[in-house]
Amino acid sequence: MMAGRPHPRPSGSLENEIVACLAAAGEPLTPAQVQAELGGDLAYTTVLTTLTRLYSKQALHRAPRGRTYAYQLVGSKTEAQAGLTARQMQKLLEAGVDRASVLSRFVDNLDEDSARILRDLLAHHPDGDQPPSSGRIPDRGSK
Amino acid sequence: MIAFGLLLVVAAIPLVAGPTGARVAARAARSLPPATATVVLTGFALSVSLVTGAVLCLACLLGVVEQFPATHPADWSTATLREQLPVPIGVGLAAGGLAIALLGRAGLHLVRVVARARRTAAVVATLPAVGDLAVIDDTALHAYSVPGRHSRIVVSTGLLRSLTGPQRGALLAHEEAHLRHHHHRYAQLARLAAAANPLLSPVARAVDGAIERWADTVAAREVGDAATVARALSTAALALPRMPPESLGAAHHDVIDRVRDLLEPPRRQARTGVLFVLAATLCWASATALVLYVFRVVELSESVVT
Repeated sequence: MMAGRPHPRPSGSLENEIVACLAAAGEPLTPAQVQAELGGDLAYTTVLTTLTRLYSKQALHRAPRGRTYAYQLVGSKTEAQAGLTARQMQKLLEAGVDRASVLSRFVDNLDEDSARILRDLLAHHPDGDQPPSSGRIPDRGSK
Repeated sequence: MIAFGLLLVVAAIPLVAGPTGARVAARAARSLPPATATVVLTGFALSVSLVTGAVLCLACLLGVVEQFPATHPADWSTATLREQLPVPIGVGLAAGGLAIALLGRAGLHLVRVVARARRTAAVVATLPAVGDLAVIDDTALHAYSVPGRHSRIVVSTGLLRSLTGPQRGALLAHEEAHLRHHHHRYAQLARLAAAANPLLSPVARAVDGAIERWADTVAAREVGDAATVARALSTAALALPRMPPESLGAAHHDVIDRVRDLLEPPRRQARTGVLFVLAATLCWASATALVLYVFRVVELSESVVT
């Protein structure tokens, strides 16, 4: 396994995170709001630069708000076309597309017992979204 | 005759290694670091299925040497072959039939996979995307990555809304890891091996599990906190509709195990990995020994003819 630098995030992943953030919000957000949503230790200028880059790629709309801009995803109001594709995709998945063509879902459905086990498991651990008190990632290298 | 008996033992190696490996694959996948488990198990599955196929073909060739001399090179002496390698005709025919059936199965699998991949790629290409991320406006929860020339990560707004900012980062890092490390190739190869040798299906499933853990581990490293990845997994799994209890449930145990491994990293053991590598090597050694031996006998028979 590769050496564990703290944040070896490849370029492009921040763009993805910001797009995901705006999609989840569903409304225009200012750079400061995006920064707060993303959490972590991202600099304001980094967020602003990425937003501007996405805007210049015409992935985002922006409208003036106060002394800055509020950004929104282009086409976050779904056109009929995208909805259709989404349904087609869903159908393909339900038809049992194997992982050869789609690396399947993030997670699968649970039954009631498993859900209870999972909740218990989480109850025994501190919330991962709080600033890490105990839980930096353990080194899982192959030593 | 002692040599022939020894040969049978050598030929049995891949036939025994397959089911044995399949029985311990799931446990091995968890005790090894996930990237190692993925590579080792995929290699094992491919080795076993290829060598098993080769042994079957060889048995067929030798078994029917008397009945179908046309299928063999003209300079093979049937008499010497029968004397040195007396594979019964029944065994030869059975081996041949099995080899054809398995090869057909693998071929069918391959055709089906390619057709599905093409269809999926065509649909995914039409999704509006920024970079490699396509967000679908849908309240249902889904996230997956589609490899290919236009590789895409597809997530629904429903899932994005159910996660916090850092959890979304974990989800994206997980899916990006699938694409960046070409996880679909391991999945494809292991599936193909299992299609050519159904006894290996548990190994293919273990590879699937190892791949998910691999992506989890990468995400934990990039996000900087394994618990965030565990929370994202759990939130998504708990938000999905419940499965009726009578349905087959390998998948949901997998989620629990993944969360547990993130929260309480298990002790990793290299030993099982070494055993799998050893088993795969033995399979190849067995195939090499068989082919060399048969060729020596053929050479011998040629010298008798001349």
